Amino acid sequence: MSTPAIALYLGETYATLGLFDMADTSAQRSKPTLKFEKSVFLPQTGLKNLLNQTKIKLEEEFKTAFETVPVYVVTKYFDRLKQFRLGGSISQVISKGFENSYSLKDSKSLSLAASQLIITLDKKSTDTTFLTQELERVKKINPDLNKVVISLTEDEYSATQIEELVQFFTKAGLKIFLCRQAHNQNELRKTLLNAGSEGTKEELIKDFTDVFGENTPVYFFCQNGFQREFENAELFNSANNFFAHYLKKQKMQSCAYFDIENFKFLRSSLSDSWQSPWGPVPLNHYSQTDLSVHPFAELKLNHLSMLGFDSSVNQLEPGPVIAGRAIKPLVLDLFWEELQKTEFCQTLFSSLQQDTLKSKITNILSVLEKGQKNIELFTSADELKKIILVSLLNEIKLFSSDESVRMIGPLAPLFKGLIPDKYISGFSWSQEIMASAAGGKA
Amino acid sequence: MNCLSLKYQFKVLTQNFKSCSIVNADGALLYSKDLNHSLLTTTRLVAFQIVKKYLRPQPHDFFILNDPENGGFQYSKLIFITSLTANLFIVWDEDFNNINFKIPPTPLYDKGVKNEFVWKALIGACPFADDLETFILFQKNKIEQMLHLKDVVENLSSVKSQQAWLKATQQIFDIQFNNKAQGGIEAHYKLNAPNQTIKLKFSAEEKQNLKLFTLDLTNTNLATDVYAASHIVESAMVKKIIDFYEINDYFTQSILDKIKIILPPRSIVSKAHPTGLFNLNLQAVCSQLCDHLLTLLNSPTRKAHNAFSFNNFLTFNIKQGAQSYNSHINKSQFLIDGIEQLSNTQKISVKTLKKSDDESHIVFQITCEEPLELSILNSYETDDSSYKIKINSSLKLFGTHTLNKNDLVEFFWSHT
Repeated sequence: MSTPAIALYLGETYATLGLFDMADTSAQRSKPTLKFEKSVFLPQTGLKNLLNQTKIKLEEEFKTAFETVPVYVVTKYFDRLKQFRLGGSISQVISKGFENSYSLKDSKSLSLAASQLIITLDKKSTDTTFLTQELERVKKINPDLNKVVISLTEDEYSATQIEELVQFFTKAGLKIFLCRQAHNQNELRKTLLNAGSEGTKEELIKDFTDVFGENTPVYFFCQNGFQREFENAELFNSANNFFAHYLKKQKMQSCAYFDIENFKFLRSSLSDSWQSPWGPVPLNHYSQTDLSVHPFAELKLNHLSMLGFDSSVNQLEPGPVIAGRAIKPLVLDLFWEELQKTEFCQTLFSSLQQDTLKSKITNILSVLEKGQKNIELFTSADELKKIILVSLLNEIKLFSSDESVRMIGPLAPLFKGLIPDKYISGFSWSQEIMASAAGGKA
Repeated sequence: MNCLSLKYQFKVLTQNFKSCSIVNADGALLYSKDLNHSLLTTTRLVAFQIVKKYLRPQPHDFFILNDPENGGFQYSKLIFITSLTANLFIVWDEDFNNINFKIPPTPLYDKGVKNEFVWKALIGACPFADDLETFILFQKNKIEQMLHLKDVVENLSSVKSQQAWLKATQQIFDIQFNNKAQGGIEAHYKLNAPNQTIKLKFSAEEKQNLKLFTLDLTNTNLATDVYAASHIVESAMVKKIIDFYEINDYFTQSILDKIKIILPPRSIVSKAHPTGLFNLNLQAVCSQLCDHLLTLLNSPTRKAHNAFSFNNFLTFNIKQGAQSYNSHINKSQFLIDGIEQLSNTQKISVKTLKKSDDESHIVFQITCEEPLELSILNSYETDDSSYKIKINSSLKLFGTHTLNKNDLVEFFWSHT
């Protein structure tokens, strides 16, 4: 009897999906059998497209209809939200004198709540007429408003009053997020973040249910494994938590991970406070260290006309030149010759095999090289590649006293020749996710 | 040796530090970074020269000092010096808020071996010995981590690499110097006291192929109540120049040698204060004066009547026992996480917490039994200021104030 299941890694720019048979006994396997696997570069192929392709494969491979196909997701997709102001469709109900109190930082920094959508309560009143007027006001500002964060203390408002508010807003069709420690900014931020990321989570789940049916169980990896019930804020650390789980399973203290959107040193330190871009959030999570070179950092001539790369990433789309559409080269493009030989990049960036694209990349890099004015400060693209790899290795050495840190991930082969081959190994998201899911469902 | 490769070697070597300098055995500056609010570039160099002269550092020696009258910044700002090799040293600073006494240059480790006598006398005698020991061991561990990078340390110690780096940074300086305006310009700022004016004349000139910045403070008044050591003021102005000329990662002795700073003896800007009480204030004034002149000199519509106006800021610290919460507010930064922590740990009860695009207002009541200590580290001077601190409705200025249970504290600041 076959039992299909889907493992999905959903990154910020790419997704890798594996379709498995959890109960394939044909070869007396103890592990789930991989029936189909595919990676896509999200700016070019959407998640829903990948899911539709998977559905076709599901029908081909299993030749029978299934009522439900569980989906196990590890994600870094929510990191995309880190560069945005959230809270555009969220109203916040709060006591007078505590307006916008989730953060005392500069008002220009990342926001979790729109000040125009705040409903301020005064005189310990929850008068329905006032609430109706206020709801009309905020709905006029944003007709799409569909969530409300209620952050009132029980010192000032009784449990009954808060319940009345919950009922009022529920009746008005708003989803309720209740903060029970309204004067604790960390808790308030978490509640606002839960509300602010609800829309993105719902959209993802809708993609799965649209394709595989509305009863599709979707499990996201959180701190304690795959779960269906969780706080949305946990999704921001899904991939980091999974890495911690992987290290534990492999009995490794640390390792370094390289893919097209992450260069990371994995060491798994458990923390109860997440330093989010919006401020500290109380959340048990494992943190991992981003190495100082980002694969999506733009390659450019700096103000001194020297070849170099940005220290941060401004945008993830349209991605690297090797993906086919972009014209601004990224760090990743420097390694195009090595990447075209990897199976992972051949799947992800199919146009990389075209001669026209290869000559486009060569030309772009050549223009950058020749743009350097001072010959004594000159760096060739090949030299820059080596500087980046050596710099990454040095950074890893700085973090780890262990000389034999393993490099894992689809881009780990970039280090061939710089470290012994035995320290370089692959990493399959699909296989690891499914092994974890099969090991114990939460 | 490729310049970019050397830059990344320095960067990775200093990755665990926010505020540090790397120098060679001659004391020549090879790399420096200052990511904190207080700036210590030249302070660290002075500290190194003192240790070099009197204690002759050997590889893996590890020194500490904090004396504001002898190469330090303030008691709580601990300066560490260690020798990575015979020709490569790192000097860095870290805050430890409980230190309220002077530490002269002192060896904590001799050639990597703990100096038990010093540890016992300096650390064992403190009421917060455990915290201080953990803090110092953490600093030592950062050095151990650096030493994992054997190849990098060896390469950066070599005279050949250092010469190549200093030559490259010299070229970078030449490029950037030529990209900006040359000439001279001056401005002044009157402190809130009679005959207490800081006058700065800035020039960027090339004479006989020598490119030189001159920061002349000759006409600054003699010190009376408010003053700071010369290296304190120099650090602030040097940082402003390297920021303005965008040569941060390439700031070395090659560039430092092109900055001439003239400070009259015993003046506001050249007299060490026993506790460094006015360091932040005077760094802010001199830094802003320097910035004003650089901007004006390079402005295509330069006008002589463009007077200097000081942008005030507010720095304060709330302390309870071993815990200390620093806060800093200026036009663009609101670093007051400490107040959040006090609220979240229920040492204070927030009564009002309001933020709009223009202003912020927080009122809280002290709820803990043990008194808190509020130290205001700069003077925001007037009732009309953008910043106000009131305790039980009474306006408070520069100094230390005790906060007892049920006291009502009010902070107000405008964002414009």
